[in-house]
Amino acid sequence: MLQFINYLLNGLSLGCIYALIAVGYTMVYGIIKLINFAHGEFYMFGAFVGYFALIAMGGDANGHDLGLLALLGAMIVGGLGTGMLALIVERIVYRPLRKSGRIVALLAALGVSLFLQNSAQQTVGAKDRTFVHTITSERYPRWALKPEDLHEHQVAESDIAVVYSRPVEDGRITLVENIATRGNTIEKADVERMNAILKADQSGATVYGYPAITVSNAQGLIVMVLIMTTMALYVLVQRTRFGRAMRAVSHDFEAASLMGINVDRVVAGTFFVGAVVAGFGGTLAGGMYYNQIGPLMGLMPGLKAFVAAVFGGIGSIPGALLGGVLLGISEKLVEAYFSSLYSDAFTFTILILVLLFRPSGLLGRPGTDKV
Amino acid sequence: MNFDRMLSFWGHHGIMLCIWLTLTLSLNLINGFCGLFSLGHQGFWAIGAYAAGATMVYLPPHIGASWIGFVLSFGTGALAAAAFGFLVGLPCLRLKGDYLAIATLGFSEILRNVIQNSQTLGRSLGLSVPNVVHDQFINLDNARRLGYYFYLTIAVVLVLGTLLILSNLIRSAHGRAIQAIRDDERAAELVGVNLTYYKMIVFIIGAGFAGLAGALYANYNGLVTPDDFNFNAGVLMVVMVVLGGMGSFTGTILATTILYFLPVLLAMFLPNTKVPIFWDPTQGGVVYREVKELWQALFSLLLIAVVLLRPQGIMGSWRFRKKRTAPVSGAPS
Amino acid sequence: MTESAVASPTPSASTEAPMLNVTGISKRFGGLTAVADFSVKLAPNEIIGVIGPNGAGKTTVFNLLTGVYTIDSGSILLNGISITGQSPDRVTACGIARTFQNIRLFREMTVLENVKVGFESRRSANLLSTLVRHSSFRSEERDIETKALELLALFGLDAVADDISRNLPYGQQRKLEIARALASSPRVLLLDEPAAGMNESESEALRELLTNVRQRFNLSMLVIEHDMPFVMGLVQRLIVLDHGTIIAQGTPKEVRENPAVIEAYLGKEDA
Repeated sequence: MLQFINYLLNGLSLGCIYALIAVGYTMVYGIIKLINFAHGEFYMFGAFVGYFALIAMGGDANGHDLGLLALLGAMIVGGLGTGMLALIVERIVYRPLRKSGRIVALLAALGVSLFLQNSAQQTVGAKDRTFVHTITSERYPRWALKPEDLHEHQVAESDIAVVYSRPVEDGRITLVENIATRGNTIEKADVERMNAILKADQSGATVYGYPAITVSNAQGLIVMVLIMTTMALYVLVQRTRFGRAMRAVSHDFEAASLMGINVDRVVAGTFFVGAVVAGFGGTLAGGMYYNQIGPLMGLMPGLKAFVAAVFGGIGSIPGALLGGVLLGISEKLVEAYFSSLYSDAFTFTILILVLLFRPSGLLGRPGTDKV
Repeated sequence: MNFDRMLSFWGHHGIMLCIWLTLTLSLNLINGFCGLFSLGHQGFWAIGAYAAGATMVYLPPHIGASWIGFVLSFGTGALAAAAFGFLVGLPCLRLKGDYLAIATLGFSEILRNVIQNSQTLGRSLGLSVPNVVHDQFINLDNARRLGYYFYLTIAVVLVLGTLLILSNLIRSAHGRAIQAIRDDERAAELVGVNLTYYKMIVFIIGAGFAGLAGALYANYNGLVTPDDFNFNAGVLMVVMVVLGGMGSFTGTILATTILYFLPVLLAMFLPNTKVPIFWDPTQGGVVYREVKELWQALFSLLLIAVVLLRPQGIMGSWRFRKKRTAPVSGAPS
Repeated sequence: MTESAVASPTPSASTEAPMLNVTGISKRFGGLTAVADFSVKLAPNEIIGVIGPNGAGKTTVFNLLTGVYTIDSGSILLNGISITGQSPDRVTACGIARTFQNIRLFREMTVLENVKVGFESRRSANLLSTLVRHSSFRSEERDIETKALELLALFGLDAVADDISRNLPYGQQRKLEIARALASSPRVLLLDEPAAGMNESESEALRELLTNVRQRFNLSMLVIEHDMPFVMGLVQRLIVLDHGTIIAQGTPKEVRENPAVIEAYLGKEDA
């Protein structure tokens, strides 16, 4: 049961990343019926923009703690950069094709996707790189333990770890050293390791005990960002002039343009917003989830986010959020209880089943066939 | 350039081109003539290649790694792919347009995931296929040349056979029904066209030919890996079919040939000079690349450009295949 | 044209076995009733008009009869045999053919090919004989070509046989749809606004053609039409639909004088 809850929490953070990508897919599809295959590459682009922003702040893969603010700043830069890219792509490629039919637009999207992948391989290089270190993953809740209470041969009542920091080139880096796991006997070496760390870093090293279920700061951050994004999107779509125009265009493209809505601006705005959110997702996933970025990183998460969008009901923003989270959780559960190798097959099986039996998804509106 | 070097260069590309032609011709039956926009043809190709490879690997060596195994592998490749075509076609009957495209893509990704994790099929490292042709020719004079001649002959026969059968199919009542489905599925049904029957035929035949291409690929290449059949391979096939004109075999042949040789020629003729392309402090400042290496990016730009410059043209080319197309004006809305 | 040419002007008095016998079919979409309790007996060689305001459910009736939608209740008998619940292609094979309100030709195919597709349910060459171009396949193809050209000639379309169908002028597209429908040798032909967009002389010519076609192919027809003069001159009986239910039926004369019809339909037209 405890294990199960941990899997759920892991799935939740993966799901939040899917959800951040799926939002853009669903918004664009809802408004111009385009499956923007390049959206996964937007996410990749966001990760790299965020990465270079952190490099510019003096970060390094093994460097000092840049801190939460730096990460959030990079995330916003990554999001805005991706938004700009989306505006350019929409203006140059998608806008001229708006009347050309869905399959032509789909091909163009495939072209953009390939172009972004290939040019990323040529510029940043084909190899994956480790993301810039910003904050160290720490788990909560936790409580401080007195080091002198821990002795060898004693059975650990909880997981025990030392959190300490070490000076590096430009500052300090926070590190976590696990000492013992719940139910296991504390060995002599464990105590010695702990004492060595405490001695070396008297300033702030603390020994903590952890309960069986913990949430990492990375998980918390990802979930918080998703919640904030959701709230911002809600306000944008439901409470602003732009949102009203967006809903009108999504409902009936022709009628909206006849009623004087600047459709071009609404479509561009939709691309921008969707890409900003994907850019957030890219930086966060690179920084706090996979810890690795590369030119092809957008391919699979992109496809899976699309599955999430279909699952939730394509065209529906709450659907994309729900679909993303559910997909992330079910993938982690499949990995945990069935096989870690077949999560891709599982995801695409879900896609096909949803397309067949409930093409409108969980929260979408079913359409009708006119003769 | 001496003859052997020319043969190994043009022979290799000739064989590979024939494999791609078989793939795109059969994909055109599905995408172009029947209007079932599939993004999963690489899956049928993969099934053919792996079924052929497995036939030769897992039959007793004196059968599998002999001419019998060689011939048999084409049969199993085609049959396995056709069966997979049936399997994919069945649910896809209910899907249209971009949803169908996504579902076919989903199927080929599932397939790739399963192959990647199959011990029997060699996981990500791939399946090594006995090189029957090489082994049988090894004691002859000019074994290498004979090998190329042999594979070239098979490859050309495969393409011509594909072309013959597919054009026989298209120029028939079956073909008319298939194209009617593309133009208006509902109207076709109401004129008496059995959608299930024809869509299944299209998927099974299209997949079967892709399977034959897979069998040839497995034998010729001697190694099949899951990555040979990735999403990008599927996209490339679709691009070839679309640029050549959906529903035009001559267009497909032309576009496939051009797009196949374009990277080959670019790699030959683009200069080796390095050009600055990016600035990256983590790579020590300015990043240089050889112009040669940029062809893939150029290629994707080309695709975007063609889609942008001929948006209706590329999708509407089938109208050019008739002799008399004098347009009669005045159709009111 | 005289009304005595057909079995009976009123449905209840019909003694001859009907070609198409529709009893109480209904269809709901969600909470909305599109067609409620629709019945009609169509005698051999009879033409019945279906009229009614936009959204009255006329095309939905056609969609129910041809198996596009499944009916919620009721039954459909064609020449005494139930076709209820059959798929559209089976319904066509059984002998009901139709045209569409907004023309649905196979736009990228030639005029001749369009009609040839119409023979789909009347041909037999299998896949294998097709792929090897067996002699049985070739003789069937020749046969279809001859018959298709004959049909085109009847509709005056033989001169444009090799044109791409979407390049035809509107009136010829309408005719081509009828020719394509006739290729399946139907017993019952459903025409959805065949005269829409035609001027007076064109619709007059179409009416003559349809009367001619009925005699020649021994057809029964249901015709949806808004063009009143056209429909009054063509049909023996009229059914008036409004909000999915039959509000009146009878001879054109009877219907014209029915106050409910005048209110629901003709009244608006006159205003």
